[in-house]
Amino acid sequence: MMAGPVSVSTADPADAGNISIRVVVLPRKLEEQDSPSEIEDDPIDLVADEMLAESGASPIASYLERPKTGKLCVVFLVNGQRHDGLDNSFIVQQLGFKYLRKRMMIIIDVDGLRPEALGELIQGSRQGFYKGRVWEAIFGRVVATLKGDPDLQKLEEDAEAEVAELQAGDQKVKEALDTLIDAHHHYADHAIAGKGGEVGLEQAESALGAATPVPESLVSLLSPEHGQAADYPVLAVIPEASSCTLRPGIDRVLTVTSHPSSAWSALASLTSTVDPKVPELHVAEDRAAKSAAIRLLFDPPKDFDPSDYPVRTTLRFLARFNGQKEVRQLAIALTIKPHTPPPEPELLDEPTVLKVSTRQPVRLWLGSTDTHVRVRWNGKDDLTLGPSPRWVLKGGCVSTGRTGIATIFSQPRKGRFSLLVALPPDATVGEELRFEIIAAGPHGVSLTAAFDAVVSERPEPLQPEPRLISGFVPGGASRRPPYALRYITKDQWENGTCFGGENWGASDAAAYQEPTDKQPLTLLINQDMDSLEAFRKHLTARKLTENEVKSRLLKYTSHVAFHLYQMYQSAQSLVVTDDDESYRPPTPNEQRAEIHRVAMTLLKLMQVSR
Amino acid sequence: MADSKVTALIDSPTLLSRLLTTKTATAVENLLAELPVVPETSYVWVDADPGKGWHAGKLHWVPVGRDRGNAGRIQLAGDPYNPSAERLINGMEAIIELARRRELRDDAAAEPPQSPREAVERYFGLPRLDLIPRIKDKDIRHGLEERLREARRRLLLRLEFDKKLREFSLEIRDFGIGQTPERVHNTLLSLGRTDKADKPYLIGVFGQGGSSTYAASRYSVVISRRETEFIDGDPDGIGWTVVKKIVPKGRRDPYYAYLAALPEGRVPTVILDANVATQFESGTMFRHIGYDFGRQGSAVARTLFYAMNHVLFSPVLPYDLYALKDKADAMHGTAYRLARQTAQLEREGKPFLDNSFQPQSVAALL
Repeated sequence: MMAGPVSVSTADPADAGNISIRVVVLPRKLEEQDSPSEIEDDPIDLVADEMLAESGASPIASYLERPKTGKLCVVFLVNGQRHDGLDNSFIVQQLGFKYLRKRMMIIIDVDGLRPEALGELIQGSRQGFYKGRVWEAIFGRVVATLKGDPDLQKLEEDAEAEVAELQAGDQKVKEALDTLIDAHHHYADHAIAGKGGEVGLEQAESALGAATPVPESLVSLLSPEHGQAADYPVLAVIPEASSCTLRPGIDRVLTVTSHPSSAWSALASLTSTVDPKVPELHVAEDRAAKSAAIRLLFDPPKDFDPSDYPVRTTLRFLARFNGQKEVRQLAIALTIKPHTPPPEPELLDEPTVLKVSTRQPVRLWLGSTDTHVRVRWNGKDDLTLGPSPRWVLKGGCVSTGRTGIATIFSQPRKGRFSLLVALPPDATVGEELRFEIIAAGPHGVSLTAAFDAVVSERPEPLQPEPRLISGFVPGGASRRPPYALRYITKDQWENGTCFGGENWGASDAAAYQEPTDKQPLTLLINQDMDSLEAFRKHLTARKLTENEVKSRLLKYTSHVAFHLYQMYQSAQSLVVTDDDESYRPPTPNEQRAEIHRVAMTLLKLMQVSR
Repeated sequence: MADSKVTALIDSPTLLSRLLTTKTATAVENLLAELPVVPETSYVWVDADPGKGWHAGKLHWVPVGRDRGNAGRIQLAGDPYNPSAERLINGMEAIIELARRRELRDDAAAEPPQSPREAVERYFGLPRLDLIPRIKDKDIRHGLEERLREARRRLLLRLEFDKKLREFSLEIRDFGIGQTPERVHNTLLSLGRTDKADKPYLIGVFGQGGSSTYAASRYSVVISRRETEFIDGDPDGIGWTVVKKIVPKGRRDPYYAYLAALPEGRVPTVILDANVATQFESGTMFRHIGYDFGRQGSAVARTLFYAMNHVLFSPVLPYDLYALKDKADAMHGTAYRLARQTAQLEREGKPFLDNSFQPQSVAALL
């Protein structure tokens, strides 16, 4: 392959002129974690002489036409005047940046179009461009430029992780409940080991008799190259990932669910293991109707040696679903390390270094999306700004005989920028190309960098599917649910199912019945307990939505049921073995009083929480 | 009503004061009642013979653009904000044109700027506004911000609200080149006529964008005065008129008309004297009275700030917004506001992205 002179974008007979694209992504506001609808959304740049904002729901709300209703976060400008716009469905559907849609603005300046092209676009009404061939061409260019942008992709990944962490905000009430239940265990006459608040999956595993590993087949969501075909359901995690990075001291919440989600109701058991063991890693579960929120916290002691980072381990979830023989597995590789921001680069007025940082040969993908080639230099960012910049960036393909490859640069930021390469339709897979980048400064000074590239076809990603693989799972091959949950209403109060075979009363919260040959442990919740009835009325009076009311009642029920379950286990472990009165099992009246106390505490706590 | 008295009012310096303080539909109607206006039912403008039925010495309603079917070209706006933005664009052009004329006065051979932005950079020393917050050199940035403040004072958008009558007025005032009374009807009140197409440093092309403001208003008061050194042989003076919508009885084709003093469409004039000259500096004022924002109250002021910044997303020139208050909001467009925010985020070390790409070519067969 011979190298020739730099050929910057060649003229195209069908060239309609130029457009310029700017994309801005703002950080997610901290307030958004609380109550978006109640935030006064003043812009960060608010100064004394500027109008106050109307409330808005997103970081870009105050930059839209109307903070509450405006959705034109993609604007098309002619001489700075907005002539058309798109809402954030463009960002989601065309660019695929779902989690950036409320933080992103895209500005497309079409001043550089040829007059004929502008003439086709602009309408006398100024109410929008004509949606014809010029529009389509612009639309395609915007998608090609931004869809493969690695900066945006990175932000999208971060945003996705942030969305998961958002759920930690909802955990506050549950944490308080956990603490309360913990404290309760200390005062109650129990002898269960471990943390009652952290719904310890491994403890549950032990309680379910699952301590002995037995070889067995597993079904996991994997690419088709693994194992044999199997059936749904499988375990899935949101955000979808096979690996996850944890920061010491910072909660990370993963949502484990089933795919399809409707199978979750058939979940018989869910356990987790961390292999190799990491004592400082706390895993807590909060089970809900359609998923389980798994809170991960790496809490190192003060004397933890920083040189031990990164800590690597694998978090495995194993689930049994009713009617399914094989255990379902979900494995997530965990990397634990503190966040260390990269050092600020030293940037100069007279840059001396220009280099391509993308691994070579750079793969240029066929298709409608541009390839972003990473470039670094040590020049200050504003050297290339303005109508008469001091330094000019030029780049292009220097392979002999190859024309029609359009290239542009992104604006440098902290010394980093990209060369965008748009392959022409006649590019062929395997074609080897050489590119040259020149930064031309004042007085004839210039810096040069080159890179080799190969035209490639983006492989069709193998869609993961349920695969049967070999492995080891703890416990037996089949298991029934650990308990059955039943609700007691007022008309059933006389059925003698409360503790000690007594009838129910208005102050009874719950009770359990021990398992028999014919039925599992049965947890009974009194739906018509007077305090629960008052709580329902309180929620309704606060005009909470139906879902919010359901969610809080679910929280109450699940926690009371969980506590009942623990009471049963405790009672089983405290069989009288000697004369020591302090180790006797609780009496039915003591159990009745205990679950009442727990229920009342929960209700009071939920009444004062938001 | 004696003609001499009427004529005196038309040309009277007190009329200018009245026009400048008229901000409600009732005030306009009271003023019109004192003027010798021939009712629209008594005089109907006819393209072939506009002098037919004309009463000398009186004012007549003449269709804007002298086009009886002008409603279809005026009622083009889908919301209240785009038309105001068009008026502001016209104001920016008037300011640029004044600067260009001064350049030509000093150097008749000066090449014209090739774009509005180039004109603004050449005449006002301002780059694209959203570049300014990104300039890291404090001295340079502060210098440009001072220029911004100066430039803003040449163009004003003023929102007022009469609480009693529950009426908005929206005024767009530029201190640009203005028009002589002899030319107002062929420029400011024309439709689809433009002398901008061969001036690459101006923005509009269709010559009718701003006229949509008439459709959003019950009345519009228009006042213009040419910068004295560029009256090009016309008599000096202040041209004025009032625009309203006329719905002829029994017809379905309304039209927009303005008060004309002569059958060819010329607007009435306030003769300049020392008193008048100080009341109205050169430039143009459009005051749209009874402006329909679709809703009432201070929320309109807030919405106006965001909407105008969004419609004029990256204006070539800044302007001042007086929205129901005496203190101006600086209007630089949302692109500038975003750049200012990202600059602040950068200083605070917070994560964000503000990425611009070089101009890139668009392939489309034309």
